[in-house]
Amino acid sequence: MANKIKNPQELAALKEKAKADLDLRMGPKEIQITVHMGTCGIAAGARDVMAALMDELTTAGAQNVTLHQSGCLGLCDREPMFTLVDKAGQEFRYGKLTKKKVHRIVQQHVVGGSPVADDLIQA
Amino acid sequence: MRELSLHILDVIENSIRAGASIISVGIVEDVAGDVLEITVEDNGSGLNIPVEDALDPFHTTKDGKRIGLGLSLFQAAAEQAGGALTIDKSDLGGVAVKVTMSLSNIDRRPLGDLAATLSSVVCTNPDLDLWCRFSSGGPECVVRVSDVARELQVNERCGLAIARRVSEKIRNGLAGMSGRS
Amino acid sequence: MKLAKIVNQLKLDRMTPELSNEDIEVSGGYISDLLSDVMANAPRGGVLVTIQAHLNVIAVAVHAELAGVVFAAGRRPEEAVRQKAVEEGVRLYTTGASAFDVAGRLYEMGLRGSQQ
Repeated sequence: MANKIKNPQELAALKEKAKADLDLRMGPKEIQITVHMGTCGIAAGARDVMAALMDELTTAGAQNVTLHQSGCLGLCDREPMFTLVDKAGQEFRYGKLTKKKVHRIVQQHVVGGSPVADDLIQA
Repeated sequence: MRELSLHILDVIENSIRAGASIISVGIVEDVAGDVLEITVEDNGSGLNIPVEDALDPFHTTKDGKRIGLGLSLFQAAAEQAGGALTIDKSDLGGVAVKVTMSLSNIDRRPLGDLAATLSSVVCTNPDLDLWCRFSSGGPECVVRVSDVARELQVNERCGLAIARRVSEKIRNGLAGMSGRS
Repeated sequence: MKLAKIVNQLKLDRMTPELSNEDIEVSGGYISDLLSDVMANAPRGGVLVTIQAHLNVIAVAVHAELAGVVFAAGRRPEEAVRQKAVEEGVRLYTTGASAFDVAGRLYEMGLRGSQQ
């Protein structure tokens, strides 16, 4: 995007884009996703998972999600991972995440409402 | 960490855990002097253990985990690139972590995707005012999340919009730096 | 594969003779000098081949629950690092062979990397 707005059309377009952006961090939402960003999580790719989540949620137009980050959970060999709490308050822990898996989880679980069993961490 | 920005993220996580509401990240490079300097400082509760303990890979302050490796790994990365890591009190009231490296050292890791790194922090920490300062000889480029938020209309001030704007500004601020790669 | 078999076949120098029990199963191998990468990807119960001889290697070995660490290309940690390894129960070995050759020999013996 350009640094400077050159005309009213550009300003309007910018506003439209900003409006279309999701409120991913404020206000009461239904689904909470917490990416675990301890040292081991970061080493395993947690930042890329967070970036993928931001992109996927925007693309999917999912307005009912709040993103959080937290420290290590002590499950270092399952990193990178995130915890998804659905609107019923049920907790789902996804591990060994990749861009591809994040795409599938957003499509199937966040949008479609059914957990991706393959990627869940078994307790 | 394969990128310095991931070490920076790790230090930021420490600051967040220390309850910081302001975190300032500075990237200053001096090409003539062959120095890359990275600082991360905050207004959090400060280091409540001796500096030696914070840099001891076998020490941790977190529950249930014995080893806190983040700072030790950053220190080793700095030393391998002809530099050092120091921990001090910050003027902001919390901790200041300062890392220097030789810009041209062959073992210096690239800065990496700092924009993606810092915007992910912005997106998930609504109460945090992140300041990013870049300079490469010329005038300093400063990006403050609170300023960016103010530039947006009230109804547009959502996490992702701010994160995206911050990301663009950081990319612009870093454009002229040689430490990126 | 038992650790003792690897040590004997590759003629590795034992740097931590205090930890005499090598009758332990090795799950796989990993080779890297970037410790955050080792932390994230080395197989639990595996051996690490590296030229890094920093104290952080010991911390990462504890974290990743490694069966042992092989320093290649004649690298040797300082005595303080070695002491810490003994304290933490991390077995250390050294060899003049390059990391490439050590990994090759381990692979020949049937050891593999972590499963993806």
